[in-house]
Amino acid sequence: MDVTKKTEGEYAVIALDGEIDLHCSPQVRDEILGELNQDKPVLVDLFAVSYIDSSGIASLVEGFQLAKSKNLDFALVAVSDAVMQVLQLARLDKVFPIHPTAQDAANA
Amino acid sequence: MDNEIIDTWEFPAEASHLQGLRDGLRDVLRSHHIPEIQCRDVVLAVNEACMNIIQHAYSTNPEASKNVTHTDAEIRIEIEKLDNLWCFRLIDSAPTVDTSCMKSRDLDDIRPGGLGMHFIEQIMDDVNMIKPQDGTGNILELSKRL
Repeated sequence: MDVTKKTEGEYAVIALDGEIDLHCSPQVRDEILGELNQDKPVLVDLFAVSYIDSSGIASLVEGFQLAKSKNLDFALVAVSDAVMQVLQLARLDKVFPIHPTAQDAANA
Repeated sequence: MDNEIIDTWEFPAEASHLQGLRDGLRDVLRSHHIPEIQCRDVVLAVNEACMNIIQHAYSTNPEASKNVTHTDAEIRIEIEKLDNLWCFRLIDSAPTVDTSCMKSRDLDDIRPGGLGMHFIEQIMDDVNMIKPQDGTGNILELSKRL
C-alpha cells in the first residue's frame, strides 16, 4: 500500500493506493492523524484503493472523529467501488462526507 | 454427493500473511467464475475472520496462549463446495473462544473497530463455531451459496 500526500487549497490530501488491511492500516491511521494533529483539514483520496477491511475503516472513522473534535473538515474523495461496497456494509456511506474529487471537496 | 475439496492453506497467524490469503482466495473464486462483487464479499468476510483469530483468539488471553509457540500460531483454511454451497473452514490452535463474545455491535454507535463480526454475518449465509473433537483450538465455518 502506497501513500502520497499533496495539498488542495488548505487541505492535506492523502492519496492511498493498494489494499488497506490489518498489516498497513496503522500507517494509514498515522498519516491521517498526523495531518489532523497539525490542524490541517484532510481529504482521503480512495480512487486507487482496491480493498479495505474493518481496520482500514476504523482508521477513517478515527480520523473523522478527531477532525470533528478539532472542528476540522474531513472527507473522502474519489471513493472506489470496492471501498464504497464496504462503507455501505458498515452503513458509513451516509456518515462520511464523500466527494467525487478533491477539488469538489475543497469548493464545497 | 461428497463435498468437493477446493483448496487448503496454512499460514502464520500474522497480519503480513493476509495479503497472500486474499490473493489465493480471489484466484480460487475467479477460477470458478464467481462474480466480482461476490468475490469481494467473500474475501472480506474470510479476511475479517482471520483478523479475529490474529487479534483476539491468539492474543486475548496471554496466560492461556503462553503455551502456544510462534510455530503453533497458524491458521488453516479449508475450502469445500457442494453444488453452489461454499464452505470456508478456519481452524486455529488458540485457546477455545467464548462464542458469547463473538457479537456484532450496534452500527448506529459510530466508532472505530468492532465491524468485523458484522461484515461476516452480513456476507455469509451461515456462521458456525464448532468445537474440535480433541477439544483444543477453534473451528469456524463460514458458508455461502455462490
